[in-house]
Order: sequence, then structure tokens, then C-alpha cells
Amino acid sequence: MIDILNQQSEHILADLNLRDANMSNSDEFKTELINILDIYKKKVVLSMHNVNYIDSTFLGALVSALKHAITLKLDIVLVGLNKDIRDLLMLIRLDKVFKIYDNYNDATK
Amino acid sequence: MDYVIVEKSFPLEKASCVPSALLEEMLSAIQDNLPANKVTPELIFRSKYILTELITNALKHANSNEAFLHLQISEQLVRFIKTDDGNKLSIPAKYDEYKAGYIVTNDIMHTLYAVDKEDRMFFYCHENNEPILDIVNDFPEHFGLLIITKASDEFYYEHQPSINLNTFSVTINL
Repeated sequence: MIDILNQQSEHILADLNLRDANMSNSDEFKTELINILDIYKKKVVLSMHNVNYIDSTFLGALVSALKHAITLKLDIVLVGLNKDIRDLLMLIRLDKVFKIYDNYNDATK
Repeated sequence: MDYVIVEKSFPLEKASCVPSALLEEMLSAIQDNLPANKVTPELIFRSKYILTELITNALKHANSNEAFLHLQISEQLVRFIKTDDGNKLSIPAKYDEYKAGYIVTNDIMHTLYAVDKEDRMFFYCHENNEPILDIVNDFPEHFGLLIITKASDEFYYEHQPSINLNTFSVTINL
């Protein structure tokens, strides 16, 4: 579900390989993301460019993983969100919680 | 309600997630039955996420035998009504005298209230100013009711114990 594309000294570039991010795959996603944080101990830059649609359950998993990252003094940065998903995050003010960039280059400058 | 253009009902079957075909069918019903100038990207965005959360709620929480989603379209509004015979929605008992409503959730970003008017619980949301992020200890992981409240112009819940019916009514004004 989460493909690790590249590992740098301070961060990991990862790709979420899902089209529909919803309650059927949110638990597995959360477990995978928390495992990546625990194993690599680096900030995760997560691309969601494949994701067409997201529901509140998946957003909850994302926030839960971010909480875990913060306890490890790490971070999860989101890139490649489509307009609907970005608008949804803004609607419920999650854009104030997650750092959001258009692409990997902007996120790792 | 003003002149009704369309009324449709969709049974909600048990599923592991929101069926994309059902979502597309309901969004198409909106697009096909409203004048083009009313079908804005914002309307579709709001409808899509309200429907997603209403259906997700039905799949996750209600523990019902039967659930339906009803769509009403008029010249002035689009309304989504979810009905089910499952568990009554539990509203926290904490009452805010100043806001005259029950506090459903309260975190650094939002306070979500439910206000009782004639046996209907109307949801509305207050955005807390300049939040100081303490995400580990004070941030929610449940966003369904908040999304519906913020994406709609009116959102209420009603429970009719005599027939054990839960109704969630969500309106977008056009």
C-alpha cells in the first residue's frame, strides 16, 4: 500500500498506492505508516497523487499516524493531493496540522 | 419545501466501504436534474463528501437492519436524508449554557454543538481561534459529523422511538 521510493538522510519519500482511501483500508494504512516511522525514524514525505477519494476514517488514520510521528519527534508531510482532497482538509482545518506541498521537490527544498 | 424536481431513494446495503457506483449514481442524479448553472464544482464537492460521510456512518455505526438514503432536489436546495432502524445516536450530555447546545466534540480546532429544537438535534460548528497545536493530546481522529456540518447549510438528527427510526437530514442551499 505504501511504496518507499527513496531514502534520504532526513526523510523518506513514499507513495500511497491507493485510488480510494477509505474505511476498508485505513487500519492497514495506519499500521504500515507507523511501522515505517518506527523502522526508519525519519520524516515521511507521503505522496497521495494516486488517491482519488478519501473518507473521514482514513483521515482519522492519517492523524493517528501523525500523532505517533510527533511523539517520535518526526513528521508526516503530504504532497500531490488532488483539489477535492486538499479542499476537504482545508474544510476541517487539517491544513493547519499537516504540512502540505504540491510535490516532492517543494516538500524537500 | 419549494417545487420538487426529483425525489429518489437508494437502499444502503452492507458493505466494507462506500460503494463508488452508488456515490456516482447520486452525484449524477444531481448533475442531471439541475440546470447547468446550478451544478457548480463546489456543489459537487460538498455533495460528494456529505454523501460519503452519511453512508460511512450507516456502514460503521448504526447497527441497523435497514438503511436508506433519500435524495430531494428542488429549485432552491439539495437535501440528503439518511434513515435507519439502528442504534440511537448518542449525544454527549455536556451542555453549554452560553451556546445553548450540547457539546458533541471539542478540540483545538472546532467545537461541534447539537442544539435541540422540537426534538431535532441541529448541528453547528464553532471554529476556535488561533489554535495552539498540541496534537498528541488534544486532537480528534473522528471527523464524520464535522465534515457533514461544515459542508452543509443545515444538518439535523431526529430519533423517533415509537418506530425506532433515525433520521439524518442534510441540506445544501442553492
